[in-house]
Formats: sequence, C-alpha cells, structure tokens
Amino acid sequence: MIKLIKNELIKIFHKKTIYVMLIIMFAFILLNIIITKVSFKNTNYTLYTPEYIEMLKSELEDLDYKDSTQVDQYISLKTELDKIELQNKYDKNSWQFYIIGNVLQSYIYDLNVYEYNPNNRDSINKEDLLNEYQMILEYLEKGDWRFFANKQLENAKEELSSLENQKKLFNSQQIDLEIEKLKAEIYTLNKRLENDIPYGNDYLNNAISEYTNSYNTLLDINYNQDSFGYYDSFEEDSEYNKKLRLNNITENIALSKYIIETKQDIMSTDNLRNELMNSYDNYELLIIVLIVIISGSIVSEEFNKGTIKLLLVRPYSREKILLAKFITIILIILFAIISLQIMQFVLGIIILGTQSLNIPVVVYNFNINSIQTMSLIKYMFINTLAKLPLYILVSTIAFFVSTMFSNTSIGITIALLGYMSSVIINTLISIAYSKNIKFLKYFITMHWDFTEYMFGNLPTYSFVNLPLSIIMCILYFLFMIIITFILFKRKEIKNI
Amino acid sequence: MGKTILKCQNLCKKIGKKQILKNVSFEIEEGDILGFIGPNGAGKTTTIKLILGLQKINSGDVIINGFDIKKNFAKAIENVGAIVENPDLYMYLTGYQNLILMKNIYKNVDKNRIDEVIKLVGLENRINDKVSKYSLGMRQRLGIAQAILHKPNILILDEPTNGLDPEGIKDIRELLKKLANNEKMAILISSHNLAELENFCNKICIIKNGCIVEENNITEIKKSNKLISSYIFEVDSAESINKTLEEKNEIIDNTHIRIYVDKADIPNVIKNIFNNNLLVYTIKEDELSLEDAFLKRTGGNIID
Repeated sequence: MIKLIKNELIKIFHKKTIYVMLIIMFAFILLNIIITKVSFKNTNYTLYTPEYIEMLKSELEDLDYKDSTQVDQYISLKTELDKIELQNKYDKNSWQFYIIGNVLQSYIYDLNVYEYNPNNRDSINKEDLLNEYQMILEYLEKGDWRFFANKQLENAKEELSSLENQKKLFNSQQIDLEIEKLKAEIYTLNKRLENDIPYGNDYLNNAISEYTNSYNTLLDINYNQDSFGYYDSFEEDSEYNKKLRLNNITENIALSKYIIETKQDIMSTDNLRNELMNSYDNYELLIIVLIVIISGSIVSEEFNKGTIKLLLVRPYSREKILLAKFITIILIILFAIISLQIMQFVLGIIILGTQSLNIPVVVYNFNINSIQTMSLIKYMFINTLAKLPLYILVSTIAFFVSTMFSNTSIGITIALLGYMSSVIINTLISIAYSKNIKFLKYFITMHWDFTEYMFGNLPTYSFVNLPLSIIMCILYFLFMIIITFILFKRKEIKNI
Repeated sequence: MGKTILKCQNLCKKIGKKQILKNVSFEIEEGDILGFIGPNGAGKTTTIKLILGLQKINSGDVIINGFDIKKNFAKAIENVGAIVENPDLYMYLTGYQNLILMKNIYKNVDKNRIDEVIKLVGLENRINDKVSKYSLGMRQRLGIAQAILHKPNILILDEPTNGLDPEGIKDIRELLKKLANNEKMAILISSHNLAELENFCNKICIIKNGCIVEENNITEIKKSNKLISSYIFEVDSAESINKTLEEKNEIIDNTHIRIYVDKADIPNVIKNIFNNNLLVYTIKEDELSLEDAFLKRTGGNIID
C-alpha cells in the first residue's frame, strides 16, 4: 500500500503541473507581501495640501463678514483656516494635531464669533476665552497631553455626579444610559493616563474610539435605544441578525479592551503575523486549483492515456489502488498547505521581518465568553484544521466526478465551479429558505467551511449549525467516496 | 507434458447486446508459445482483457497458476506479465523511472533486476531518455521490460508487432525467443498476422467472430493438411504440359506448373514429359505454409 502511494507521489512530482502551480503561488505571495510593505510605507502624505489651503483662502476673500447673510459661513471658514495653520506646526499623527482638531477648534470658533459677529458677542466672555486659549496653546507647546486627559476626566466626573444627583430625584432609563456611557468614558480616560496613551492617530487611540463606539452601541441596544431599521428586509432573520450584530459588538469591545489594557498591537495588518493569520483568505484559490487539478486527473488521466492497465494487472485489488490514490490526494493537500505557509514564512521574514511574530493571536471565544490568547502557530493550526474539510471535499468532488465520467476536465471544472460559486449559491439558498424552500439548506456549500464556527462564532446563516455541518460533510464525503469506489471496481477497461 | 499455467474455460462475454466471445477455451502449458490468431475484431484483445481481469467475465473461468482470476485476483495475477493493446507507459517519465515504478510494486525485484532486464531488451543506451522520445519499437521493448521485471512465468502480449517495420518485428521475435529460452516463460502472443508467428510458436489458437475455430500444435496442423503433396516444376511451356498430363495439376505461370503427385510418382511424370518432347529445368517440393493450411481448414481468408 505504501509502495502504491509512493508511486503515485513519484508520478505527480515528475509532472510539470505541480511545479507551475507552485511557481504561481510563489509569485502571488511575493507580490502580496511587497504590496503590503510598500502601501504602508507611503503613509507620509500631508493631510492638507497647499492647494487646498490656497483654495480656502481665496474663498474667504470672496466673503464679506459685514454682510449678515455671509457672516456664519465666513466664521466657519476662518476657523477652519486658523485650525489648519495651527495643526501644520505638528505632525499629523501627533497628539497635538488631534487636540487642535477636537478641543481647540471650539475656542477658535468662539474667538472668531467674537471678532466678526458683534451681535453674538454678549454670550462670550473674551477675557476668559483668551486666557483659556493661551493656556491650551502653552500646554500644546510643552507637550503635556496629560493635562487634557485630566481635564476631560474632570469634566466627565463632574457630569457623572450631577447625573447621579438627578437620578435621586427621578429615575429614568435615559439617565441610567447616560451614566453608563460616562462610566465607559471615565474608564478609557483612566486607562489612557494609566497606560500612558497620548492622543493621536495610532492603534491605541483607534482601540479607544472603537471601544467607546461599540460600548455605547451595546448600551443603546440594552436600553432599547437602538433601531435595527435596515434589517427589516428579512423579517424572519432579523432576530438572528440582531444576535450576529450583538456578537460582533461584544467581540469588538473585548478586543479593543484587550488592546487598551495590554498595549499590544494585535490588529495591525502590515506585518508577517497578519500575513500568516490570513493565509487562506488571500491564497485559498491557489491551493484549491492545485489540489483540484491533481485530484481530478489522478484517476481519469490514467484511463485516458491507457496507463491504468499497467496498474490494474498488478497483484493489488482495485480498492487498494484507488485508496492509495485517495490517500495521495490527502497528502497533496497537506503538501499544498505546508508549501504555501513555508513560502509565506520565508518571503515574509525576508521582506517584512520577524518582529511581529512574538505578538500572540487574540480572539474572542464565544464558547467561554471571553478573550483567548494563543501563539501564532496554534492559531494557524486551528485555522488549517477548520479549512481541511473544505479542501478534502472539493478534491473529493473532482476525484468523484472525473472518475465517474473518465474525464479530467469535467471533474476539475465542476469542483472549481462549486468552490468559486459557493458564496452565490449560499445566498440563493438563503433566499429560497426565506421563501420556505427549506431542504436546500442541506446543500454542501452551506456546510464545508468550518472557519465559520471557529471559537464558537455564529455562522452567517441561522439555519445551519456545527453538528449539522459535521454530519452533512461526513455524509457527502462518504457518498462520493463509496460511489467512486463502486464505479472504479466495476469499471471495464474498454478496447481502444 | 508440462504443467498447465493458463487455462481458459468457456469464456463468454457480452457487451451490450453483442456477443463478443462464445465459449472460448484454451490452455497454455509450461514452455508453450501460443500464437493467438484472428482478424481484427475477432475478440483477441477482449479475451486477453478477461484473462487479466480488466473486464468482467460473463461466464466461464480463467485459471492462472491454479488461481481463479475472479476469486483470487491478486494471487492469480502475481506471476503474469502483460502488455495490452499499445505499450502504454508514462510518457513524461524516463524509461528507467517507468521501471522503478514497477519495481516498487513488487517485493522481490531490486535494481540489479532492472539493469538485467534493460540489457535483455537492449535499451541500455536510451533508458534515461523520456519515453515520449522513444520510437514505437523502443516503447514496445520497454513495455516488454516492465512486463517481465518481476519474473512472471507467463507473458501475455497483445499484438506486440503491430505498427512495427519488418526490422522491428524481427527484433521483437528474437527478443521473445530469448525470453522463452532464458527466462523459461510461457508466452501468449496475439496477432492478426499468421505468417509472422509461424516459425516461432509451437501452438496456435485461431479465433474468429468470438469462437475458437482451431487449436492445435503447428506440426500437427501442417501434417493433417499434407495428405496430398505437390511439386512445382519449372518447364518450357506450362500449357503444353497441362494438356499432356493425366495427374491433377495447376498452371502458375508460363513456365511454372504445380503438379499433385506423390514423391514416388515423380520419375513417371518426368518420363511422360520427356516423351512428349517437353523440357523440365527444376523440380521443387511445394511446402504448405501454415496460412495455406488454415485457409484450407477454415475455408476462407482469416486475414480480413
């Protein structure tokens, strides 16, 4: 048996096909990694081009602030220009840039209102305003971002205590919601100070804003303030979609919280770690084409070229010969996966470097409802395991169809079509399902990708689940394999 | 009588509604070279495929070395070497790689045996070339090499000389003779050309429209047809002799005539010719070829 498998492998590795596919794979990976490297290096653009500023200035000149219809527009334009002028002193990713845009802008606006719109002057105390403005500029110069964080924290705490006082007077959901939101803000501000996270435009600040947004949305949902308006189109599914969305939000909150607390950049995409985590998203088609070509030709080509006679007049039963061929296919699938990852690894180390590999992979596990960290290798292993059923089934389709028709191209075409159109097929099935045609949910494309279920995730469609998918995959697999064996056993070697 | 190696008993095969084989039976014993002769479409290849288990047998038995091919395929086929139809080899591999593949299948074959076989079929110089670059004759020889690699005691060859030039046919014939002598193999060789096998086989089996019409030893067949002997006379005028002779005769051309007489009567014939003032230059015994013998036996052209 092992001898037969060895022979099959000798045959495959003496054909050009496999090498052509490996070269294509190599070229794709190289291109992708180079693009990753280059595209993230090019981020040094300036946000405001001189042309843009010139345009704003000329626009401003055309406006007359003495005209009461134009004064509002004049003020906002002038504010924008003043802001840009200040911001251009600092790097676009600096915390100063952020503060000018988010805090100082309102002071500039008020000052401009005072300056150009005398009618509104009463509401503004110019002395205080200028003092505060100057103070902020000073802190900006000094580089003390903590001042702003502390101030924000102070404000939030004040607001919180006033809300809590209000709550004593009359209880309302709205107040509870506001209190919860403020608590979240206070939490992020405390973390910012504790973990030394200046304002700015990096992954930590992204995580903070992601956390705030997701947490607020979650609160809105819990307090029934959130509308699911746009999910109404599939009436039956909207309950499930709510669940999906809730899962997504929970995951976002947990992951961004993890980033804020550990300061580990687990979301970055411009490194080797991300490349390896997403092997299958990027290169799955290449693996599929490679294994389908081989499994679609391993039997039928021998029939077409007549070499099957060489094999069948040997002291092995036909079942053994076919089994050897199928085991060879499994080995080739593993070979394809391993060579893909080795290529990614080698090219990635050369081009992107190794520094990202130490960062653990962090996922939200819905089975235990908490964050789970694991090494990159373990994640890749789990990911591969979840993808294997898909690859084995697609190869089995090619194997089955090509043996049935003794035709290599039909087998390859059907397997590839099935794989590539599975998204469309699944959409059609879900539409049919909503129209009460329910048996289609047993179609194989619904079930073969187990990455849907990784770490307790809910699948895209409500009517499938993990046990069903496991059973369906096994049934489809057994069906095709048994038929293939029966056909092969009974096949007559026709006269040419 | 040696021991029986291959025995076919009442093989029947139907494909669709067409009866391809009807009660085909024959036997091959140790040391036999059986010529399996029949026109195209008579069922030669089908018979061979049934023997090798490549097609299903409708009824009848194939026993190889005491094992039934239907019940005990692996044991029965173990000592068989075969080429069916064309020598279909892996074209993208070299000759040597092809043989390595076959070597891997059997336990008792090593690399020395490969070298030995390569020498035997005379492919030493080209064995490391890709098979796609081989001529048909070389492919045929490599096909024989892979068939005999595991030292089978019976070699089954389906039209091994098909498509070869006379030189190539001669080479293959020499090779097979060598194999029969050196490796002590029984050989079943099919062909549509009887003359080609005449001097080479010791047994002949003729198949026509799926039926065996003749199975015998060559010498017996020839003998059985030689009841009346004939001689070819070279004379000055065949026509005049035809008029004067009482014996049964047949004009071949102006100067040649076939006369059906026993050896003992030749002097009388010569005397008779001499008396009529006609001349005889040569007399030659007309040997009956295998083909002629069968033409007579089957009463028709077996070479379609």
